[in-house]
Amino acid sequence: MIIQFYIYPLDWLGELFNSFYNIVLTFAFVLGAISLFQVHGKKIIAQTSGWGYNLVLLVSLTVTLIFGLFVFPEKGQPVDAGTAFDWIFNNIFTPLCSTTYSLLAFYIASASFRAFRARSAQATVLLVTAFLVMLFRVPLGEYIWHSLPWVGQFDITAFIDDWIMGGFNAAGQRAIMLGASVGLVSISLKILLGIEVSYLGGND
Amino acid sequence: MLQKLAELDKRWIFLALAVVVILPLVFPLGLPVEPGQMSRKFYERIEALPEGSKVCMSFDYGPGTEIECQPMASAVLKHLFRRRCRVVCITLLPDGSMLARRTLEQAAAECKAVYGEDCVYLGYKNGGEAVLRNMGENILNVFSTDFYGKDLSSMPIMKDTVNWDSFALVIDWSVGRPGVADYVRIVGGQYHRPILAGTTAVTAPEAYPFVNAGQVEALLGGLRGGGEYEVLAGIKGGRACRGLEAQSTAHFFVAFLIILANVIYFADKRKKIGRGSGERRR
Repeated sequence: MIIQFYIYPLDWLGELFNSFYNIVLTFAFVLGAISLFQVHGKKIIAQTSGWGYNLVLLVSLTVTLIFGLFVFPEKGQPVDAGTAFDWIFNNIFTPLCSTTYSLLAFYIASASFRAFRARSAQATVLLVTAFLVMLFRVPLGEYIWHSLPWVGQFDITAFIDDWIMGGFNAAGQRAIMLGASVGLVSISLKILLGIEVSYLGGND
Repeated sequence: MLQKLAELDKRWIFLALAVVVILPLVFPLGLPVEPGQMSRKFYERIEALPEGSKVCMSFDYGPGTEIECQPMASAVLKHLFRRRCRVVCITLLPDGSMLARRTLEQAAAECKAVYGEDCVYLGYKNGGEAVLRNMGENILNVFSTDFYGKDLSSMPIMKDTVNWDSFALVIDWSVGRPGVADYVRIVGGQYHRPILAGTTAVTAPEAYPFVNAGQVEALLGGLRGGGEYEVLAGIKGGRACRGLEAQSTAHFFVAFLIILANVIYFADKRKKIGRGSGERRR
């Protein structure tokens, strides 16, 4: 895959391995489902603590799978509007996902009250930056800012976009990205050269 | 008093936040939404597309983040249809497949876009980056039928659609992996297609280096990005604009909590210092 990236005549090699990758990935779905049944099935049989949740997971998986694979109109698809699978997706899966994601807001509010303190100079910088981004990147904040005498003429949104997000934030993100990429190259080389073998299993 | 506040049960915070979020949804404040530079750049990029241009749009978000990504996807789709552009939609996330269908069907119905001529939905294919790489060779090798199982080769929109070179623009709505980084690496890096992106507010900071480098031409971030685009596209009473008011009050509430927590912290610290110096004097 790496070679074909640099040598164009070997492009077919990349295409071929990509196809292999897709096939392996498809089988991974099947393996994943089997593994789920094995792991959770064992817990249900042994009735370990919280086995009810394991049961809910397996029942949900089976029911969705059955409706997704077998129950749909003769001249249609399981994903068509109005099918049982569509109903499960819209009325069970979507609200559950939205609820889980929305819970974050409550935990952020609680955590900000419990933990966000100006204990050091660094924490104060973080606090002030968070304040600016949080308050003045929403319509209410912008409205209040522009109503202020003198400072209200200064374009706070452009400052946040250009300096904080496009400047300090982008520089930090780039550093993280470069660091992670160098780490990835190094670990890949270790695997290719046989130095790193822990992925094969065993103790080290 | 401050001590009592410091020990406040977190359930009171949860309740107050719920009230702060619900109130503006029930009684809208009518706050103005002013489009920023980035949203304008996004809008102008689409305005500059010639009529009939083909755009690939990827819906790489799930139901959890739908509230942030769907409004911008919907607004941009409607704008593209009004500009008489043709849109080929895909998704690299299994969760996104039904959401993309719903968004496309609604926008197409509203703008009277004809399925198969003005738009098509190819559905989900697993493999992330590998799918993008294969689409660079031949799209019909990756997707032989559309999301509804119809043959693609008979559709007018797919007649001259071969690979990434067939698209004037690629737009990705994403929340992580697969997402903007994959598009930058494959579609931008290897096939040199211009990319626009929209992400959740949480993931937008990660995409900024790509914007600065010009690898992503413009970026819409979170509900705000969606709201700004709704204003630019002239969509009245859009989902993002309504949500932005609730987000505004929630942000102010969190800011109030942070201030309150710091007031308690410094008052406590001062008290401890006073007590310490008193003990030393004794």
